[in-house]
Amino acid sequence: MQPIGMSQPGDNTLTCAQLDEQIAEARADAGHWAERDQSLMTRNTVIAIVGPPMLIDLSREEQIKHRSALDRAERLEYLKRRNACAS
Amino acid sequence: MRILTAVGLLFLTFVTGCAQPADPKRMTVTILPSEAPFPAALSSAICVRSVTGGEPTNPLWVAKVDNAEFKTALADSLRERGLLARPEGCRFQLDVNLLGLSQPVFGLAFTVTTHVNYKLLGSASEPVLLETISAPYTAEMSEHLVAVIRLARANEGSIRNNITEFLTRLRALRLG
Repeated sequence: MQPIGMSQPGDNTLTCAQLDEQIAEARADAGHWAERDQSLMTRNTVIAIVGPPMLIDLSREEQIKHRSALDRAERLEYLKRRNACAS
Repeated sequence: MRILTAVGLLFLTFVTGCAQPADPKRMTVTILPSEAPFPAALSSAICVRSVTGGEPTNPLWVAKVDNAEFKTALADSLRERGLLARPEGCRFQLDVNLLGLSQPVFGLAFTVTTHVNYKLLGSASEPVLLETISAPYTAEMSEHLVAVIRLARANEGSIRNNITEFLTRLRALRLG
């Protein structure tokens, strides 16, 4: 499992429209992974109480993808400001 | 029967126990794979402005790494190489986001992978270096018999490897 890279090859050549598209994608990804992370935390809590503990998932894949998607969106927002794209 | 109970309790004491917080000293990078110099512009120039995403260790749950522990280890690793600035001399600000620790639940050898975003910003807040780094570390049984301490060692080793990789990329930075 790999997080979403904050900076990616080709970032500097993205047009304003492409930046808008990728920002929307990153935000949608962040929302999706945040929901899944919340479900997993609830599941882990239930398992911690009723067992069996070997089913607890500590990979934090959902949290990592959620946070990395937010940082990716922030990076793209910076590029949008730098390129003086209309907001 | 009493002997069996005593052995059982001793075993439980060894394999369970309270989760341990991370020790910044164990996460500090003291040796780098190469001793090549860092860019001169980075000398005494970096301030660690923020570290986010860490979690304190709950003794009844599993070992984690909190923001203060990570920040201390990172600042000490930079200081060790003459890169850390005095508060009034920051030419580069470093913001760090600990995205998360991928940890195992069971096992003899514990492999933890840390995922971290490093953002080095220049004086006009322009990004100078943006790196997403994932670094694993495996703590073998030989490192510690007690599972909760072995997991803490795996966390610490993984953070240390992550900072090592960041320093390696920092050294390769070309500043105009």
